[in-house]
Amino acid sequence: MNEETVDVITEGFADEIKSCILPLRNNLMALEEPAQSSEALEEISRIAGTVYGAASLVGVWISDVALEIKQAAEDVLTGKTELTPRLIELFTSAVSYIEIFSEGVQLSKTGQQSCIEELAEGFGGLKQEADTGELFPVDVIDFLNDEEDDLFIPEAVDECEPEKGAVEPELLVLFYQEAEEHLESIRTNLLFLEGGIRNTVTMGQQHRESVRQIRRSVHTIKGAGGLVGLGSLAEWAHHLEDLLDWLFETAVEISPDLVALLTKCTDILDVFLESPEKIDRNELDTLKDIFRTYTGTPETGKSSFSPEELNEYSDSSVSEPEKVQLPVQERSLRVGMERFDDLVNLVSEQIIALSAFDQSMDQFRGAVNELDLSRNHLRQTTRKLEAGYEVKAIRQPGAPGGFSSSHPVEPSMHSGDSDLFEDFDPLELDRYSEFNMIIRALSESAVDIGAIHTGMRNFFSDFDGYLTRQRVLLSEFQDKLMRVRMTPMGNLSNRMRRTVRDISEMLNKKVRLDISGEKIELDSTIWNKLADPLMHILRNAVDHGIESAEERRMLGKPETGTISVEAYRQGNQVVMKIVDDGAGIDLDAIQKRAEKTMASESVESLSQTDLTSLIFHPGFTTKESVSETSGRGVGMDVVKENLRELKGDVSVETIHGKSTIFTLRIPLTLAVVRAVLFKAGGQTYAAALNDVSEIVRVSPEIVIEEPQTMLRLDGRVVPLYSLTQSLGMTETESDIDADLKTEYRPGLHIVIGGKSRVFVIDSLLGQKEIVLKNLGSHLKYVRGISGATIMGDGSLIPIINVEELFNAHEYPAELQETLPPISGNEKIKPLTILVVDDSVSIRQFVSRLMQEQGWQTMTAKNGAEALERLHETQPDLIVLDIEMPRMNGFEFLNARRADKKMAGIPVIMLTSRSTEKYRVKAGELGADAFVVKPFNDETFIHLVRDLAVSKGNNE
Amino acid sequence: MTINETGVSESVTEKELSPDLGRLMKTIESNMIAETDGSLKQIEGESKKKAGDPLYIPFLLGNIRFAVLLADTLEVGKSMPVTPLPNLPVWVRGIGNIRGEVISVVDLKVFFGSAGDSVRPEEYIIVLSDGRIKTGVIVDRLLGVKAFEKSDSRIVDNPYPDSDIRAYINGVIIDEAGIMNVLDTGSLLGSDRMNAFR
Repeated sequence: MNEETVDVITEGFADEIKSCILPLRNNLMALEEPAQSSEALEEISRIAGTVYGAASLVGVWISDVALEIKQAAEDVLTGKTELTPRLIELFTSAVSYIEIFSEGVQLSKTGQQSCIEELAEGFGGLKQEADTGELFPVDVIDFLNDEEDDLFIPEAVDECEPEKGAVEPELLVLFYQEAEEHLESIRTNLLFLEGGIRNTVTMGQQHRESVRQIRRSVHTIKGAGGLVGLGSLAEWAHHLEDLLDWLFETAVEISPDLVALLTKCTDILDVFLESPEKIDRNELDTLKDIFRTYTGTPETGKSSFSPEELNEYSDSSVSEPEKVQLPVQERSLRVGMERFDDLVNLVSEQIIALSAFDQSMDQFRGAVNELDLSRNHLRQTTRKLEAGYEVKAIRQPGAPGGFSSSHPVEPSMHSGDSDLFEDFDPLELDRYSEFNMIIRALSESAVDIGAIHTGMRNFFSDFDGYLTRQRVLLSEFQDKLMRVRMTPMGNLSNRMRRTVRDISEMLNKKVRLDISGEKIELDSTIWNKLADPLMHILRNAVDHGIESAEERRMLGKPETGTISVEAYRQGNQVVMKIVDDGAGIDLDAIQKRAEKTMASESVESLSQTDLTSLIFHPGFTTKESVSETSGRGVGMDVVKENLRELKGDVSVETIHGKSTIFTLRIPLTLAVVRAVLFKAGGQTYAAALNDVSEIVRVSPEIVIEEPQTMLRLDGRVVPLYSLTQSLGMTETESDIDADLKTEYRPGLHIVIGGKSRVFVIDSLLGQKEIVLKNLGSHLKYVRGISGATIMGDGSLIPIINVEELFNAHEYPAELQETLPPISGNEKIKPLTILVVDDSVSIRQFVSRLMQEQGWQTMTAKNGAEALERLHETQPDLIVLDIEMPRMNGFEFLNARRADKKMAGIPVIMLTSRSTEKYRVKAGELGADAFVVKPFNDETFIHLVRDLAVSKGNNE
Repeated sequence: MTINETGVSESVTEKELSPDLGRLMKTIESNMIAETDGSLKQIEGESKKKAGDPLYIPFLLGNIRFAVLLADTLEVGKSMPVTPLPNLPVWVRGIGNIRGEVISVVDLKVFFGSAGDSVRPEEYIIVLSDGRIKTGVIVDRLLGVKAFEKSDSRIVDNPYPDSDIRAYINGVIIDEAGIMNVLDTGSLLGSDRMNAFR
């Protein structure tokens, strides 16, 4: 049977059925009145017959229901059964099935079947009561025959050959969806049991209810699983059901162990659904043995599972009335992520297009205002003309020098007028000269322009209104679209629970996981990105955080450790807190480890926050040995990395011996953010509004210059930086406070991890909703910049990566760039490289290359500066250009040879001069290597390393 | 371009227009021109004209002629406004917007080691792609689209004595005007320097 065609026919047919429901209901009511009952029954039988005819023609399951009604009604009429309240009840429920069907609610096959069976059962049962002696009611047999004959053929086939795998894929999909729902319900009930049962207790009413619901779900999975040909799943469910039967019917007490066993079994069901190949048969057998110890059933008998038994699952003692859980399934549509992303992109484009409108609208408004001004000007001029010159012109019509006479455009009319009314004084009779006409025309056009202006102003306000409406609609559209992708955290909770359970079992610790805020929704792509970090933090919490039961006892803590995951919304962010009540992070171990890997002086000065944030550093681990669960040093940096990709943030707090708190902050949507637009160094930038805590006015009187440029802000002193300098946009190290002495400038106040910093900018441009875009396929990562946005006029605005901007001063060279990846026997102290070049870009490029290796760099603009640097510190290697102002490379080499201390430092010449002459000269002057720009990064790094290390060893 | 050309009534001369209205008009006008003219032309289909020889886009960097396979280019045209970004080498000008897509803009001359000219009067851009990276390279002039026989002669002379661009050139084409260096898009976009931004 092709499901699709059925759907199409069914739709038209459903309308017909709908029209039958009301009469059916009315007649059912009439059944209550004994006087009308027989008439009503006849009517019911008739309508049911109609429904049956139509339904069986279309081939939908409801035909069976209708048939049941018809049969039962006829049975009463012929006196085979009596009209009991129970029968009316059955009628009512049968009619409601028909109604549900007509509403277009699709029931799963099993759902349908249980409805029919329930009815058949009910009607059959009644008949049996009334009519003892007959072993099997005729109508039920009829019904069964009907079913076999034409209605449920595909299922009948499936039922007979459950393991052949010839199952329609759609059916399987449906099954998986259904099974997922049931598993969800099982888990919810198990959680309830888990939460309520700490010790062995007597089964209460609620416990029994939970068990009953679990059993029902397991039962359905068994039945449906068998139908779609998942025999082994069905078998497992069958065994589980036996256990549950026992638990529900005979067990008196329930213990936490038993709940744990059920949880494990549910997990196995899950595995069956997700990756059946991973099922461990032996494990199943052991579990089955455990079941038997509970239920006390011998191995033979019921526990051997046969396909025939599948048919038996309809046994009404087990089948709970499916009616209660008929979920009004929401109609849903599965759409590929790609197609959906297209839509999201389109909306983003639309927003950009709309902002182009905004910009033009501003110009439009300006133009309209200009028009108003010009019109007023015109009107004034006209009035002046009228008042000042019109009368004059009238007084002296035709007088030499008079206005009108000098413009004899239509002299005939003019002269005629003056001749005729010569005897009138000009004041007695207005005479209109050409000049008057022109003034009239002028004032008329002034009025016309006024009208046009009014019209345009109206248009403008109309446009503005439409535009606002458009904006509102668009943002609503976008909101809705984004919400489609939103899924609740609840989808992850099972994974979290399983992770915690597995690890705690493995480590033999007792851990409880509390999850709150399961309804918090985030974009599903965000959850995907977030899942691994979350699991990692949880694993860490169980492994490093929570102590073993004995330790906890000794410390006076409850034996069972608690990890709580809490999610809530805060402004434009979702905050997730993962709190464990374990030992806290071992700061001493971090400190020790840090001492091993970096220059010791920098470690001592580290604050507690600095130390804890070290755990996010790549390759950092405090565990001496690597275990399966953690300690490889891979992980926390990935957590940070993933969060960074999500434009989020992770921080950690720890209270020694008490708890560790991880706080993850995730922005609500990725694609669109509210941003503040500003100018700095003449260029426009944007920064996400929720990254900026406030915008401050930096005025000369609150700036402190010594020893470091600081700002007095609300009674605190906050470091002050220039944004462009922090970004590395300005080459000249301009003195920010020089400007600040004279003028007010705005500043972005940024707070990260409790630290506060102000970055001075040129001017603010305003707030805007911007669409985040990446920097294209080439520039995957640019330090300090997290992306770009496109303005309405097509221009691009870089979006500041606030965290990197902030950290530009956070870890000055020693810490951030130099912690080397822990690997092998590599020298632990990082190399220091002096880069001497007059070109800032070469300095930057080489420095960056070196810093990527975890080395420290110093720079000098020319030979003379390099010599000064060498007096301060001694680098491991010098990268030297030849042509430089003040002192060129060769001169520098000469000077270096003179100084014993310096002569030992290897030098690599890095120049664009490839000629042999230069090479030879450099060699003579004692350069160790000669590299021509452009160079291969890899070889260059190798060269630097080799030279620096070999020289270092020689000393 | 004056407003009169657009057909606005004669009595209103350009002078009397308020600056805002004038700008508005110009914006509208230029938008219209951009639409009809297309400052950036999509090249597609042209390559099918001559089936035999591969098509190249010859261009100038300073006075040196280069060529790049048409198949490696996505678009050519006048350069668009470029937004500079921090912490990048000089040869990356910044980012530009091609119909809603953000791409990087590379100054090929500076990349090849020549000191970048301060401001060139007019620049052109060729958008190159190797399927993985998409970037726009700034060149001095475009010289149309030409079909040449497959070039297989090795490069003989380094056009930039100051640097080594051999790695990015995979041959020369010799025609009536002299020689042309054929840019190897694959090794250019696959080079370590290009891929330093991960």
